[in-house]
Amino acid sequence: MKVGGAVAAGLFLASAVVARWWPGTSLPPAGGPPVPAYAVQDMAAVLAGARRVGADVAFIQLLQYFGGGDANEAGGKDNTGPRSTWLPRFLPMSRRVAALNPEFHAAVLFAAGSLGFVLDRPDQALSLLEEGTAADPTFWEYRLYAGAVAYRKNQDPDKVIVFLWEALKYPDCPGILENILANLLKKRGDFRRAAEVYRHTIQTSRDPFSVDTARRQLDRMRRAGLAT
Amino acid sequence: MNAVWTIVRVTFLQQVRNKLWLAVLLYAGIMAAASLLFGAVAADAELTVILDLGLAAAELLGLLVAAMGAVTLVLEEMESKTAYLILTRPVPRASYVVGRFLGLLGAVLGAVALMGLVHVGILMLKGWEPSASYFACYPFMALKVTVVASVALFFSLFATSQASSVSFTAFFWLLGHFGPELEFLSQKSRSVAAAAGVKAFLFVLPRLDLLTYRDLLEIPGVAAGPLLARGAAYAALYTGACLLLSATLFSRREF
Amino acid sequence: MVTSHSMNSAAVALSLENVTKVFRRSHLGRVRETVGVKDLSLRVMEGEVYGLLGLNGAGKTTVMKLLLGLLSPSAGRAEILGRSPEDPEARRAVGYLPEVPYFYRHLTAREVLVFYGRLSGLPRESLGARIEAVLKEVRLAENAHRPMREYSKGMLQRACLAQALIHDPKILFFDEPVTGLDPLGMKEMRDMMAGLHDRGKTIIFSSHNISEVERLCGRVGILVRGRMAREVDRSEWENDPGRLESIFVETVAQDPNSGLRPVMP
Repeated sequence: MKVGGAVAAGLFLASAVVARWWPGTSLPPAGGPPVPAYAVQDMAAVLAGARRVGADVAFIQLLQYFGGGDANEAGGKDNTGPRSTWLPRFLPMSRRVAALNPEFHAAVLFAAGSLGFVLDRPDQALSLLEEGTAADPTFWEYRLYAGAVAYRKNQDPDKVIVFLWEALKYPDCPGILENILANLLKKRGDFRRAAEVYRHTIQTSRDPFSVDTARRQLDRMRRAGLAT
Repeated sequence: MNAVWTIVRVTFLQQVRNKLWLAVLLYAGIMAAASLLFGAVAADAELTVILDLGLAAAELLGLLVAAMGAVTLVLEEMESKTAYLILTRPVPRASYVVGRFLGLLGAVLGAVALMGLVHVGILMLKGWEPSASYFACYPFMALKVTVVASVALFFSLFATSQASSVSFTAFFWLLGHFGPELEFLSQKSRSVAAAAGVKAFLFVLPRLDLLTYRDLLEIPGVAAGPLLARGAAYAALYTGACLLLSATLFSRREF
Repeated sequence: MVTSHSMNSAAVALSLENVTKVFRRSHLGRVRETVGVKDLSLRVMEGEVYGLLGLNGAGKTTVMKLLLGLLSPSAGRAEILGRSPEDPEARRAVGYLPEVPYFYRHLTAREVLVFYGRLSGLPRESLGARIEAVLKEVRLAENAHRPMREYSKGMLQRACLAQALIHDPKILFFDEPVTGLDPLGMKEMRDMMAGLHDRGKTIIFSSHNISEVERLCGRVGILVRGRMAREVDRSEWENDPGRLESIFVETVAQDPNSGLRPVMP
């Protein structure tokens, strides 16, 4: 019994040495919860070893918040106030997704795009993109979107188009931004490229809302003779 | 070795005939429902969500089945006295424990592999392109299942009831993912005693965060190979320790 | 049949020398000690059929388990063919028929015998033939393909006997072998045990059924509250039907806590 116990202790010690000193990558500690209301849920995801799933669920909750707002909250979408006052928890909820999964680029891009182009909060969008870049400096598309938001803030739509047109080439471009790009192109009278964007959305996007919007817009353009 | 292999074989058959495949069926049902649901609500992240959920569900189901199986693996045989006909034969008690454990593990990992096939099928129907890093998640899952099952087996022989064994196992499983956070807390703690206590606890806590490769998917520059080597070394040492303790406890058991 | 007269020339198959077994149970911080057997000695010679008789809780099962290595003595020594019961060679020489058949219900009889045959060290090459021979001996060959959960009580008992015999052991332990069997089943079991004895096997069996013990045993040990109260040789009851029962009742009644009054002559 004593020999077995001693050998087992030795094995535990060896395993602890491996855990401590054998180099390898780990996710950063999850840290404090950006949104206290979801603290228990996020903690459960960490404890279950399911941070990515936790981030996925957090992203879906972000989408639902974006789509429907919160009736108990001032600044909901039904308000007549300016867009910048809508959905006040949007930034913390976006940070929540990134805290759980720093590699969830699509979520960060969606959140930054929504903040920058829909909710008129470009500074928050830039802050989020900066945090994303710090977490993963190799994902250079963050800088592309930061450029688009910065020019949006400076009210230079031509430069915004240049950056978003480049972003379109990459698979993570959110459907909502493709739609915004197409609208900008239509305003500029560039219906050919606008139609190209809508066709791209229909072929590649998995967001039923974005696909549906693109289809309707393309049909409308066809009826108006602005697209084939 | 002959005795171990003989017991492995019968244990494997026992698990399969005890309808372990129902877990695979449950998994297929969950994933089918999830793929319909998330297609509607996850926007462009549909594929990511189904991929993450599928991996997590396969691991969770595998862990549940392995832990519940390990807790009852030896206890049930002792209570039903099926073990008597084995232990009155020239079979070392350690061989019995190891054989039962390996048989259970083989069956559970087979079930997890089947779940993987179901998952890949659903993903490919959604237009997913297979990647090596996805398939790398499964060896890590196997290592995690092995470690948690060995913890469950130890507690089944150490604790006084099945309920307490399951509770302890669940406690270790949850805290096993919290290793980095616990280490962070121990460094920040002002109490020397508390910090020492946490450090001592970390010594025996399974570091399941080392075996959760699926959370590192898509991180650039992170190669699965070296992490798998580290995980395999860790799992082998930790599981070996648990099995040795289990065999030692069992060798002193009286019937 | 081995009797006390021929004991001197036969070797000792099983022995307990001054064995005491104390069970310790802790409950809510308090430790309770129960004495299973106290200072018990017995010897079973090779080729003998030895019976263990006693009331419930007398220690019969404890004695069997001490000899089988399922329990370790708190004091004293247990031996099988001069070796510790935990010695693999000792285990290879032993076959055990428990009171209740403990099988994996999902296995067929054939699969069970493959399993236990391999665990007993039988080589793969000869295992098949040996299994068929044992199945024929216990009359299970026709049902060997069915899973154990479909077996009747009698079939399970025969399967249990088969696993005890598969490795052709020298010594057989029978724990209440006829409990729950119908009269035909009891006769079949009795005949098999007699046949095994004729082949030179050493048999130790515990039973409540005095008539079965009377028919089969050469010697009987009567246990009372963990002690060997008396050993009875066959010559004491062979020509006196019912005599063993009287001896048993007398022996047990001498215990003040038995609740029995001594039989008046």
